[in-house]
Amino acid sequence: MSTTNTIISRVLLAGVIASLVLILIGSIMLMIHQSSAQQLGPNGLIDGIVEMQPNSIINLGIIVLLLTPAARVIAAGISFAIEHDYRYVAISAAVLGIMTTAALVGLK
Amino acid sequence: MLPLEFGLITAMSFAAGFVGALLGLGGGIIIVPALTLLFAKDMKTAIAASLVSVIATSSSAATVYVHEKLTNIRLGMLLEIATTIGALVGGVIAIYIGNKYLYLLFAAVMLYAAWSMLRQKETCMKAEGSEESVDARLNGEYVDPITGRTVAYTVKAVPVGMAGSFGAGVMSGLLGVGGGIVKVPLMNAAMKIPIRAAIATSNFMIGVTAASGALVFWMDGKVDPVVTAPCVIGVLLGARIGTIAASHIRARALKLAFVAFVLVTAYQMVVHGLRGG
Repeated sequence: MSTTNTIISRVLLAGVIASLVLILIGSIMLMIHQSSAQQLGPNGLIDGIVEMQPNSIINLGIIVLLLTPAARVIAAGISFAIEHDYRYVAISAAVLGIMTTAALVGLK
Repeated sequence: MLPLEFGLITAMSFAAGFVGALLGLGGGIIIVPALTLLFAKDMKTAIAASLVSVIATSSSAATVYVHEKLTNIRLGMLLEIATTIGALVGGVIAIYIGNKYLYLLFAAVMLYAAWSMLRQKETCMKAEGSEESVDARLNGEYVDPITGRTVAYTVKAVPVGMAGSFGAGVMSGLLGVGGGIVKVPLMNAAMKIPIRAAIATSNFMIGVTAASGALVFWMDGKVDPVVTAPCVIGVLLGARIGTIAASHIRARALKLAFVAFVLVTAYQMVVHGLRGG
């Protein structure tokens, strides 16, 4: 029981801290370089991160934040599986499926 | 990018997170009108930035609630099926609907938030004896952080909770707010969940819900990093400090100030909406 709480709590904390750090670093770099920023697709994002572009670092921070709740759902699903509570494993999978659908629906 | 605008949006979001934490609201209900009316951002850009900020505040608060075991994780995840479907539907509607309607709907939600805040009393539902819950695993208990007593409760009216959660999800994806103003009273009054557990469980669901909505916006290319980054930084810091300050500040005057803010802002949103967004 308490392990589920601990795992979920840590996943959320790690996600929030990682994204805040990335967004802060990217924003400070953006200020220094006086460059612009826009939303990036997967290809531009990976190239930009390799080149340490401020815009890409901010985008990565936002993506980490978007995926933090999904990571929390996966973590909960795994811990329900360890408890052999398959009904809630199925519920976790359903929530994850709906989130994936949301991403695909937004994609034109 | 203008460092000045970045700084001002950070400051505004800090205030939104701070006031939100004191009043028990997410920052979204302040961030969206501020971004559109003060910073002249597009309504959809504002909603997307707000949704991402809402994920941040919800996840940050959830680390504490979950750790303190106030959150009913199973109930939260069951209701999340309804809120995430709602947010998906809301997000899609928001992308295709004209800004005009978004302004008008947002004004209506603001007025509802103010009204429910004025009406709000300390409704602490006591756990009742009858065993009516559909699934015993949904029932919860927690140790009240103030009284130190163990509070056990039976969850009721799950179908009503699912329906209301779907509505809250639509509102979240459509307007960029968390939807706690719908879920907390619903869980407390209809599902008979004690207020602390209702707040913690509602907050728990908001991260996943806002993420579903935000994913629709992100995939559609509506997440502007220059607007979103200062919102996330500001609201996270503001909410953290607001939570610490909450025990030292009396919320009464702040509530009235918020109601005044809502009346002025809702009027502006209606005017903006009628002009066509």
